[in-house]
Amino acid sequence: MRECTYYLVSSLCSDIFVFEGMSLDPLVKAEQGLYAPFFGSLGVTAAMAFAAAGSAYGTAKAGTGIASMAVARPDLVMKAIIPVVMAGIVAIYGLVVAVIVSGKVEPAGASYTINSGFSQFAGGLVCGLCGLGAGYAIGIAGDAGVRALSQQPRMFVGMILILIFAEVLGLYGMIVALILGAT
Amino acid sequence: MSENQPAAASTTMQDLIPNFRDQKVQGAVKNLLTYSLVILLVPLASMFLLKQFFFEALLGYQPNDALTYSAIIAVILVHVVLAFWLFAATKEDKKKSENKFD
Repeated sequence: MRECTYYLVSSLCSDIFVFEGMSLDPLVKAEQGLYAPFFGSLGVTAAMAFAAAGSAYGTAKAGTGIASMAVARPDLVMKAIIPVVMAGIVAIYGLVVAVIVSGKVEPAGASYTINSGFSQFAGGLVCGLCGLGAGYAIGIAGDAGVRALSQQPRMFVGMILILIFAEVLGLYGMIVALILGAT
Repeated sequence: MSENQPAAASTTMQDLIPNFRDQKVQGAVKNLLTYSLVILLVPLASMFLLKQFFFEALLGYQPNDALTYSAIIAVILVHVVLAFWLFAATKEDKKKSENKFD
């Protein structure tokens, strides 16, 4: 059905543009290339995979710090686990963008052009790579912060501020990805 | 030789068990479990339930718009839960220092 309408639309376009000039018809056809959904799907994959990679690194790096400090201070677990939670939130950014973008990927046609595919690819890549960087920063800062927390409990506020500034980087990526994916 | 292994394991368990029986540690672990469950379930549940039952059923949005708005609300809700988490962690600390003064 969709292929049928696509064929109708493209033949209609070619009929219109035949009178104005033959050069526009290949352009319109190229804009509706069949490989547009490939880039959209790649955007979904990039958003989820890179964000999950950053989140995994952050969780693992902060987890080693928690494991070595919690031997002495198991009562601080509620505070010490916060870097892991923030790394998990970075993965939620990737998940949100992946779900939204995957809802917009369609078969190629007049409503889903190359431009849509490229902008979804860019959105997925920007969210994924920002999440990767944010997860990396959360892992390293969280590891050092959690180790410092067991020695000096007043370090908590400083650690939280550093983690928030690291996590906001992932939030920026998600906002740009939503803007890119929505257009 | 073979009896040494379980004995060593049981001594480490004996070292660990008082930590879990400690009132402070128990409260912290209970708090941790509750908040972990909440922060795992809240974003996913709010995202899909809001899309299905609020934006699509009540407000009649298109599925794509409904998904975008519910995703934004889910991300905001995650940060609200994180704020409560931070509040609980700092409150726990204050309670502990008050006990120390007593």
